[in-house]
Amino acid sequence: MPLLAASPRREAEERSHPLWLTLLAPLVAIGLQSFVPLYFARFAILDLPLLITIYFAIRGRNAINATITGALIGMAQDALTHRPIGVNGIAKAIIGYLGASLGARIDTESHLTRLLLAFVFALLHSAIFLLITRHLLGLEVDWSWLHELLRGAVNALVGVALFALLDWIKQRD
Amino acid sequence: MLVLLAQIVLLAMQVRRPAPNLPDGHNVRLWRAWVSAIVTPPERLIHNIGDGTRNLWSNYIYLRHLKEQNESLADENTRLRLEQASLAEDAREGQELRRMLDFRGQYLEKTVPAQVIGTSGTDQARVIYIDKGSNDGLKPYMPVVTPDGIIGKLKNVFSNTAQVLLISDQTSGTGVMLQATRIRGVLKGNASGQPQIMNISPDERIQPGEPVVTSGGDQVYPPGLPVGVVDRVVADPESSFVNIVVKPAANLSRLDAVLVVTSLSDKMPFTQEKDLMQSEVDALPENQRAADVLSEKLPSLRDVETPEKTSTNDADEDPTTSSAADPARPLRPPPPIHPDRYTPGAAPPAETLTPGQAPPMTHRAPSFDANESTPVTPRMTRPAGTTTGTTVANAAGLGTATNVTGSGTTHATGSRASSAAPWPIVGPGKSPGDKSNPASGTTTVVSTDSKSASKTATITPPASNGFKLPLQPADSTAKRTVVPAPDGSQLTSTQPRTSRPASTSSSTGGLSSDGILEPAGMGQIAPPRPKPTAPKPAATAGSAVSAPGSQPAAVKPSSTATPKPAAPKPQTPPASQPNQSSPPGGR
Repeated sequence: MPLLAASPRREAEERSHPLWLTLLAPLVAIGLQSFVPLYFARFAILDLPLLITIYFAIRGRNAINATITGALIGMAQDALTHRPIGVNGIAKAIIGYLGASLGARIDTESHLTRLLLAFVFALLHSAIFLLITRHLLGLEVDWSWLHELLRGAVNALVGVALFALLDWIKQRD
Repeated sequence: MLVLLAQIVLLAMQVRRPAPNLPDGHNVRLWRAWVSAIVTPPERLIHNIGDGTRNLWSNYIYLRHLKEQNESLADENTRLRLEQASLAEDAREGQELRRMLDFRGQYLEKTVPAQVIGTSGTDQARVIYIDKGSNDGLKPYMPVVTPDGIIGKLKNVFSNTAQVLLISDQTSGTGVMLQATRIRGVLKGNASGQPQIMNISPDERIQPGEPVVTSGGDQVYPPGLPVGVVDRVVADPESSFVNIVVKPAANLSRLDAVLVVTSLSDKMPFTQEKDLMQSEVDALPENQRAADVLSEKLPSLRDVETPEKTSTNDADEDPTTSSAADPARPLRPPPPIHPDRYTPGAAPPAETLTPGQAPPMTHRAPSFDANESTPVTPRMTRPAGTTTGTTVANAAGLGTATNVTGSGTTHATGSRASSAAPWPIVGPGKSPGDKSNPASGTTTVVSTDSKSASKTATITPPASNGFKLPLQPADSTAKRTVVPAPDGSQLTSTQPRTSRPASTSSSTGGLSSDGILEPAGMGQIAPPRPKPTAPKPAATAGSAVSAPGSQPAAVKPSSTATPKPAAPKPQTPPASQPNQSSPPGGR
């Protein structure tokens, strides 16, 4: 249980991120998400903006900030598509809120915890996306449970590595 | 919750549009422009850095295969020009027909090349970004193509970048047509990103591999641009129609450089016209060589692959081959293998023959002369002063008729159309060149010696060695009239009901009691008997006299004929008469 207990408030303040990282990280994630599939089509299974949203949510532990951050990142991701803006925004806003809520109650420093959270949030994000696309937009979605499980696993593994990198960048700053 | 609510309202406002094809609202478009302005410059920068590095490598470092590549490209260019020349005539004809029908064709007049610099980042929206925008003359809904085929159309155009909606997206729609079957439909992407033609009737015959081209019905793509090929046909679970999955011609997952069509024209562009003319000029030597080769082959009808026969004997020279070498010399048929007395030069001269002598044993082989309009005339000459009965042999299919002239020669005339039977077969139908008068059906019989007519009438021709002339069977439907002969005998003139080659049988072989000439037997007739001479009517004699090789004339006992008919010989049924001398294979 000590492992799952939340850290004190001072430790939480130390976890605040610099402004440049807060602005740059989502843009780089969106840019890479748009550029890399041009040469490596399999890269589209990853969702770097989602991982950034999860990281900022579990690290910041502020539900409002995480919700707004998730919404903005999602809407920026929607802006690169021709679909109506808001699909990814709604999904990532929910993920941000849930991530911040869980981050305030459990310790998210462990890699195992981060792996499980990333896996669960990736599945949840796919479910919300399917719900909105099929029932609000009326478009068909090629849904496959196996594919979504694989997507969640890949995002979880990459997320653990990305979280460690962002922690190292913050520590250097 | 407030954030979620606001986004849901924003989403609803975007979805609920008067028409789905209308562009985004002002605020939405502004947000897209901001995000695009932030994301696309780094992408363009990275892409330019990558292109520069590649050019540095290929232009200055990796030049080893430049010469070979240049040569291969030149060869390919030449080959494409020749192919284009072969299609030039069809293209011009199509244009002319289109002009006549006032059809307006569409050609790609102007295109803007662009580089692909980014994607949407998600596999749910299949769009790409290019590095050209409205500053370069681009506008929404302009088609985007590659040399392999179409890839999509412009969706959102910004100042320096543009968004291209691929044909594999669910919200795209392209008017396409199957090139072979001309089936039209709308191409859309499915959930997994495969383009497919929707709502096709299951009765249509669609084969995998059939090319798919644009139909032009969507007013975006010009017609005729390649789209892809048919991959497979799948049933639509929601309806009774089928969907055709199309494999795109362009690799949509590996796009680098594209062309944006900015202008279409009804006329062929100048550069294309110039290339067409150049290809026609380049193909002239090839065509000339082909024409020369063809002209060398045309005069000779023999196959150049077969070895030429060296003829040592002039008599055995094949007239066809000899005439083939000289175009001016007409073709002649080859000499018959077994000449008979109907073949020119095969019959013995008249001085060597005696009356009643059996004709020489020769096979009757057909010989054809394409240049002769009249058929071969076999000659059976008799000594002067003797009269011969009219012997006419009509060959069914051959139309052969034998005429008897005053000189005692019997001519068998007829066409050479059919040579299947060795003996002329009696049958209906008028032979070509038949001089018989179909109306009267009479032919004057001329006899040179009237005194010997009675004698000759009773003479029974000796048994031949197999050479017998078949006769046309008595036409039971023919109208018969009995006319008195000058010498008191009755001569029946037979008027056939239909126009037939006039035929008469040998008087010895088949003159029945009513004067009808009957065949002596199946495929057999007796040699003609001499008839008494009669005054030769000037008008009708000409019709009876026929030179060798001339048109056959019907020889029938005429009402004006005065020859004394011979006593009718008792008829023998064709079946009872032994067909000993019948030719092999004869009827």
